[in-house]
Amino acid sequence: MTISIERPTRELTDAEKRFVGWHMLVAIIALLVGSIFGPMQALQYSNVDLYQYLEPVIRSYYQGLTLHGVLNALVWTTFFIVGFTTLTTIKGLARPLSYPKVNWAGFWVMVVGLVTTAVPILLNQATVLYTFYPPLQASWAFYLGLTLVVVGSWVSGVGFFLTYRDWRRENPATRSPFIAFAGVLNMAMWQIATLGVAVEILTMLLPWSLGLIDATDPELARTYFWFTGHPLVYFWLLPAYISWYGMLPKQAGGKLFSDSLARLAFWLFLIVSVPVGFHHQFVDPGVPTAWKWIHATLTYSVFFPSMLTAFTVIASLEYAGRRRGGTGLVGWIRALPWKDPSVAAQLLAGILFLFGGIGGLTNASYNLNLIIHNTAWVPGHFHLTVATAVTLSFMGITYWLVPYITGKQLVSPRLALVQVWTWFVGMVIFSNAMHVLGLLGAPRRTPLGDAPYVPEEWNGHLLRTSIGGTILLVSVLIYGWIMLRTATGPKADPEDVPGIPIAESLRDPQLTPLWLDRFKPWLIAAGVLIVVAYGPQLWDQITGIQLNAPGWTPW
Amino acid sequence: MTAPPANAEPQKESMGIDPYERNWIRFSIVLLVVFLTAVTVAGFAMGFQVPGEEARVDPATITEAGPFANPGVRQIAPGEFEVYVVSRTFNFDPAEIVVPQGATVTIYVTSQDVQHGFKITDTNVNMQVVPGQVSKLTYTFDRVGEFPYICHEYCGIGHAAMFGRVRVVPPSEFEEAGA
Amino acid sequence: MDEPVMETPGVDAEETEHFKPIGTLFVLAIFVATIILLWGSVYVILLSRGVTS
Repeated sequence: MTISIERPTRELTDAEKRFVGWHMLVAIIALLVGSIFGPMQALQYSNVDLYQYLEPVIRSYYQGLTLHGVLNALVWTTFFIVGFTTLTTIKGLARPLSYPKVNWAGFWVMVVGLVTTAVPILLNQATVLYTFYPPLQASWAFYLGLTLVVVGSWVSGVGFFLTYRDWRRENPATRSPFIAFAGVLNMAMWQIATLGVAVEILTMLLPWSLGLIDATDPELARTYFWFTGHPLVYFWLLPAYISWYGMLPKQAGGKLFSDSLARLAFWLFLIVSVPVGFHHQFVDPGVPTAWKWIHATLTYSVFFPSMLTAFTVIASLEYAGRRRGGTGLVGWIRALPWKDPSVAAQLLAGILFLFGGIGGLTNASYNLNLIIHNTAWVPGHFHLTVATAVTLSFMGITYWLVPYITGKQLVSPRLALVQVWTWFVGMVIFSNAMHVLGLLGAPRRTPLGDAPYVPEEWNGHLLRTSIGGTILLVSVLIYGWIMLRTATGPKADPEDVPGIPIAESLRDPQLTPLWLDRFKPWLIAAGVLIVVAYGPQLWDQITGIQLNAPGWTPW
Repeated sequence: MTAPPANAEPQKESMGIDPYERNWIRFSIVLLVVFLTAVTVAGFAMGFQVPGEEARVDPATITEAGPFANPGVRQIAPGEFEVYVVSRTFNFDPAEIVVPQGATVTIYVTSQDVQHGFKITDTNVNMQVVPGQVSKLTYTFDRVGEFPYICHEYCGIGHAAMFGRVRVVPPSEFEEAGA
Repeated sequence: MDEPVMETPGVDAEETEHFKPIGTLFVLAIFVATIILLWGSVYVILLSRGVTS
């Protein structure tokens, strides 16, 4: 029987807005600084070397690439996600954080970690890229800093869990509000996932960089790294999904099509995000083909919740479009509020994510990986996923979130639309060229402008990469300008300040089955699946550890 | 007009899946199973296989003893070759592999220092090269021509210059060269 | 004659009943065709580049 629940609402207090705001500030600065290097990489492909002008501060393409990867893929995402899901937790549960000091502690630990990581990178003592594969050896400060960033995010996560627990005690019969549920779930997944990299750094890389042990086992390090490395992409992606499922329908004038399937998709991400890491090691030595195949199968299963998402999100948008008067097979698409930069950003992000998904399925396809492993295809792929599905969605979110937390009005929504579309166009050009280069055999992470083996037929694609990168540079500069002007602008009339969009569900969430709203069984399932799919091979590699690869700093 | 039947009675908890979405779910599963079957058949029945577990070595001693002490191509049977490749910053040893057209070549690669990559352009040969581990793939070169093998893992400042090439020559030319 | 309709909070039953996501299926059909085409073309590249064992 339906229990009708009165759902309270509550706005964030000024202190809470400030807390979220600090995360956004760090995130956006990291995005702006990190994004300067991306186009420099892309221009290098056409022999335009802008790095020479940055000497002696930035000494090489690879140092810039390390900054680009760390700042954009790790710092921008992590700070945005912790800030954004703090907001969804507070707003969704309509209650304050139980222990705000815990969350503040998490933030400051992350900031200390960020600074500790940044110093050796800037001193060219950690030019190891954001995968930091040993035996490339960075300064100990780099590993320590990364550890602190992760630990800080754990502390924030604990703050979420305690808040959620208290809310659950206060509301035993209520279905958890979707945006809060999903943010807490993402943090739980993250805590499980980061165990891999935590073990890698604490048992191997940190003692090694401090001189306590002489050498590493690089293949074991890869296995630890990818235990974390793949769920990392879901840690980035799920907050975008929170917006697509739980906010975008409202912004577009509709409702969430299916609350129960939205939750099911998130649970599936919790249980299958982690035991898939060997699909990054398909062409590695030291891992038997049987385990690679098993992880290929599990990676295919993690594709399934994204197929669910495609339907549910598109149907929610179709519902919105039809309510706005759209008709026919595609008329509803045109009826969506494309003039709203926040909506346009997320719609365009979603469109490119469809292609990112296709590329991802290809990467996961066992032997198809022979064609594209470590080629330009891979950055081509993840610029559609993390750099567009995630980053462009996050940019779209900041178009209402930054005005909301600052009490300002977004400066020039029209310019914001230009920003959104230039990102889309730049990325289409860049990413398509990179995919093609990959199929032709161009390696990733390589200044191809200097490479002696580049054949004639790559040149056109290298040029397109540079053009796409340049358009993206324009886009990110516009974004920085809009954010700066918005944050420093005058306080707006409260009526002109956007609120937090929260999409209702077409059906009362109380009708969603209880098993889709309980953490315990799913956490147990996640643990069991990890033990089954990772346990034996991990055990073999750990018991067979050979610390025989000493460190090198060949940069 | 038809009254919405759902409102007549109190609703029960259910997934409440729309019939269209239910069909999409079924279809998605079928699609993924078909794709997975296609790669599995290609991998385990047709021979498009990825590298697996081969052997472990000590990077400090590979140049002193064992097969990697003498990198290069060796003929092991008519039409069959093996080649041992040592990767190091920033070159491959050997930098050139010459084989006759139609040769079936088993390639063993390891690293003396950091991680490298080994991908032969226009072929399916693609291996991560990890110090302490031996990567192995066997491939038959059916086409005459030059096929660069490129280091695809960042290995330091000279990474972009790190490559070698396979030269596949007509069998007659290979004989003349006195291989 | 119109029957009295009981209000169930939060459930817009009429909308649920009448909304058929045909447009969604159309978009997804294009998506699936694209998946098959692009994924299939990489599969063909694999087959054309020779076996590895």
